[in-house]
Amino acid sequence: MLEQHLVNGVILGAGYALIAVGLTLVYGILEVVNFAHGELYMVGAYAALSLTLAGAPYGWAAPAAVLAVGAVGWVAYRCAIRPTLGRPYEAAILATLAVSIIVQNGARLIWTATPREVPSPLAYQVVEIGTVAVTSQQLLVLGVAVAAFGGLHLLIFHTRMGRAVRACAQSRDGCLMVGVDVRRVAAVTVVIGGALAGLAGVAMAPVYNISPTMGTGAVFKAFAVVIIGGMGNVLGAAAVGLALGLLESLVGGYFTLTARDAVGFLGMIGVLLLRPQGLFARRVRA
Amino acid sequence: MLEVRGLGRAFLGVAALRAVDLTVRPGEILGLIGPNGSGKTTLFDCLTGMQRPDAGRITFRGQDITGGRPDEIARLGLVRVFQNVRVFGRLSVRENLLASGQEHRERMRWARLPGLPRLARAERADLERGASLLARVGLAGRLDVPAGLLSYGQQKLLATAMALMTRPRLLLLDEPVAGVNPSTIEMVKAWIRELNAGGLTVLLIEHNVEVVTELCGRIAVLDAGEKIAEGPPEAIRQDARVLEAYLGR
Amino acid sequence: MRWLAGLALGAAVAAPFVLSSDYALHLAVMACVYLILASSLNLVMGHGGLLSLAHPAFFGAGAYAAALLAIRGAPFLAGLAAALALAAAAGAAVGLPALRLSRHAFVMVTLSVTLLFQILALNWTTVTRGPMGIPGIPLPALLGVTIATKTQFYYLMLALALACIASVVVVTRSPAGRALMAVRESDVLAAALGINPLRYRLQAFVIAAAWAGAAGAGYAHYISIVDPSVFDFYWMESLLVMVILGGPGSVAGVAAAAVVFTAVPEWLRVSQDLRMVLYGAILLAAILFLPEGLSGWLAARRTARALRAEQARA
Repeated sequence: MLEQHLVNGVILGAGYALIAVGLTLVYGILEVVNFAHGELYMVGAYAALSLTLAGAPYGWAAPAAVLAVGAVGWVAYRCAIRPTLGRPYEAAILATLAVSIIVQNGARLIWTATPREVPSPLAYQVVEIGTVAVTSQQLLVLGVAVAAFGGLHLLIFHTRMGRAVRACAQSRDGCLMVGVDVRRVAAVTVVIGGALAGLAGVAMAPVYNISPTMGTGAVFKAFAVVIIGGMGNVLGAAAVGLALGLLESLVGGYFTLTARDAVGFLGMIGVLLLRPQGLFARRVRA
Repeated sequence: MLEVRGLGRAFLGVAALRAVDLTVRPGEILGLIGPNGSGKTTLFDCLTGMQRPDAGRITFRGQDITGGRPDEIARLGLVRVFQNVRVFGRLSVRENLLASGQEHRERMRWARLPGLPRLARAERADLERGASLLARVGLAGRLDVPAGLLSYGQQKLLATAMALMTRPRLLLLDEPVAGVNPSTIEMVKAWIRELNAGGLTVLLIEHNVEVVTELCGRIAVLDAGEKIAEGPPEAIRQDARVLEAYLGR
Repeated sequence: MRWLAGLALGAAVAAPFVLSSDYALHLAVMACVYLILASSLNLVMGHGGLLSLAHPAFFGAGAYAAALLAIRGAPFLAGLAAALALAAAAGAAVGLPALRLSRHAFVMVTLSVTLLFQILALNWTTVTRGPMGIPGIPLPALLGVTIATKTQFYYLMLALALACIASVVVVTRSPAGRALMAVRESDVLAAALGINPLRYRLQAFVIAAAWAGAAGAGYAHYISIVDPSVFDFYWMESLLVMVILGGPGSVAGVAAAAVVFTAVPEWLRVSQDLRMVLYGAILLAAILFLPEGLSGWLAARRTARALRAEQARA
C-alpha cells in the first residue's frame, strides 16, 4: 500500500507543482498575487469538458482547452492586472478577486454546480508497475508536468522573451532602461502562468470529478505551497508542490481526510511563524 | 546623549557602515555630512531601529537601543524627520499633529474615549502646541486641509512639526532644507537655532554647506561607510581627507 | 450629516410599520446582519487599510458558538457572549501572527483561514454535525420576551447593528482610531513617531471579529439552523461590494451600501449565480474607476471645491 500512496502522491504533487509554479511566477515578475489563478485551473477542466461533450476526442480537446485558458488568462490580465499595475497592492488583489468571482459564478451559471466527469480514454487504461496500479491519465499528468517544466526552462533561458522576463524579475526599472516592453512581459507571464494552471486542470480533470468551485480548493493549496516555498521562487514552488502531494497522499491514506487538508495549511502557518520568507529564500529563478 | 560604538551594517556583501563611532553631546547641533552613498541615511536607519546593525552598539541616554523597535525608540525621545517627505496624506493637518503627539502624553489610559473631558483637555493642549509650531513656520490656519494637498515645502515643515510634537530629546533631521526655496531656508535655520536654544539636541544630515557651517558646533564626515573626520566646521573645511572625499571622485 | 443620520435612524425604527410583506421584513433583518458585518469589516479594511478575507470565519464561529449553547438550553445572552468571546479569541489567534506578515501573505492567510474553518465545520462532525449542520436552534428570549416574529427579530438585530455602528464611530474618533488611520497611511512614519502599528491593527482586527461573531449569533437564532454554508465565500463577496462601493473608511457610506446591496439584488430577482457574476463585475468596475467608493468620490468633489476656493483666495 505504501508504494501506491507514494505514487499517487507524486502525481498529485505534479499537479500542485504546475498550479503553484504558475502562481509564483506571476508574483515573482509582477509582485501581484493573482487571485483568479485557481479559476484558470478550473476553466481548463471545463473547457476540456465542453469540447469533449461537443464531440472532440480528449486528445484534441486537451490542447485546445489549454489555449482557451491562455486566452482567459490574457483577458484577466487586460482587465484586472494591467490597469492596476502601478497602484497599491490591494487594487490588484481585489481586481483579480473580482475576476475570480465572475469566472467562478459564470461557470456555475453555465454548467451548474453539479460535479461532472470529463471523459478520457486514458482514465480507464490501468498500468501496473510492480505492486502499484496507475491509470494512463495519471501518467499523463506526470508527463505533462515534466514537459511543461522543461518547456518553461527552455522558454526562460533560451529565448529572447525569456531573457526579458528574467530582466524584469530582477528589476522593473532596469527592464525599462534596456527597452523591454514591460507590459508585453507582464502579459506573457500571466498567460504562461495561467496556461500552467490550465494544463493541470486539463490533465487532472479526468482523474477526479470537476466542479465550479474546484479552483478555490486548488488555490488554497497553491497559496500554501507558494508561501512555504518562498514567494517568487519557482524551483521552491515545484519542490514544495511535489512534497505536499506526497505528504497529503500519505496522511490521507493513513489518517483522516480532514488531516490531509490540514497538512498544507499547517505547513503554511508553521513557515509563516518560523521563517516567513519561505523555506527557500526569495529568489526568482525559472 | 547618544553614543555609537563600532557600528557596522552590510547588505549583499557591501559594507554600508564600517566601525562607525559617534557621540552626540546634550544640547549640541552635530552635523553629519559626506558624499552621496556614504552611509548617512543607513546610519539614521540603524539609530531609529529601521535597520538592524550587524555590529556595534547604540546607547541613548544610558539605554542600549541597538536593534530596538522603531516605535519604542521614538517613545524614548529619539525621533527622526525623513528625507523624502512623509506625512499622513489623507488625514487633515490637525489629525497629523494630534496623531504625532498622542503616544507621548503621560498616562493616557482612561483618556481614550472621545467625549471624556480628560481627553478633550489633552487634545486641546496638544492642538495649541501644534498650532503654535505651525504658526512659527507660516502654516497657521490650514488645520483642516488634508496633509497630502500641501505643497512640498509645507509638507516638509509639517513633518518637522510632527516630530516636535513627540517632545523629542534628540531630533534627527535628514536634509531639512533640500529642495526648499531660499527664504524658507533662512526661516528653517532660525527655527532650528531657536529649538536648540530651548534645549533640543539635533543631529543633522545636510548637503547645504552654508547651513551646516552656520548651525553646527561640530561636524562628522562619513565616506564609504567610515567616519573620516570630526571636529568644528573650520577644521573640517580644511581637512584634506574631507576635500578628497568630496572632490577626488 | 447629523440630521441625515437622525433621519436614517427614524426610518429604521419605523420600518416594520411601513413594510408590508413578510419577505420585506426578512430583507430588513438581513440588512441589519449585513450592517454589522460590513461596518466591522470597514473598520479593518477602510480605517485600517487591511484586506482581510477572514471575516466570514469569525461570523461562522460566532454562529456555531451560539448554536451549540442554545441547543443545550443556555439563555440567548450566554450564547451571544460565547459568540463574542470565541470570535474575538479567533480574531486574536489569527491576527497576532497574520498581521506581522507582508501584505500579500496577510490576504492569502486570511482567505485560507476562512476556507479552513469551513473544512473544519464540514469534517468535525462530532461537534458541528458536518454538512447537516445544527438544526432546531430555539428562539431567543430577552428580558422575558421571546423573540419569535420577524418584526421582533428585526428590532433585536437593529439594536445590535446600532451598537456596532456606535462602537465603530467611538473607536474611529478615539486616539486609537487616529493611530489606526495613521498606520494605514504610513506604518513607517507612524512607528517613527512612537505609534506601534501591530497593536492598533490587532485591536481593530479583534473588535471587528467580535462584532462578526455577534452577527453570527443573531443570524443563527434567526434562521434556526447553522451549517457550513455560513463560511461560504458568498458572504465575503457581498461584503467586499458593500465596503468598496460604500467607500472604505466611510461609516455612513458603507452602512448605506449594506442596506442597498441587501435589498436591490432581491428586487432584481436574478439567480444567485448571475447575481454573483454581476457583483464581480461591479467590484471590478469599482476597483478600476471608483476605488474610494461613492462616498470617497463625493468627498473628493468636496475637497476639490474647497481647494478651488482656497486657491481663489490666494
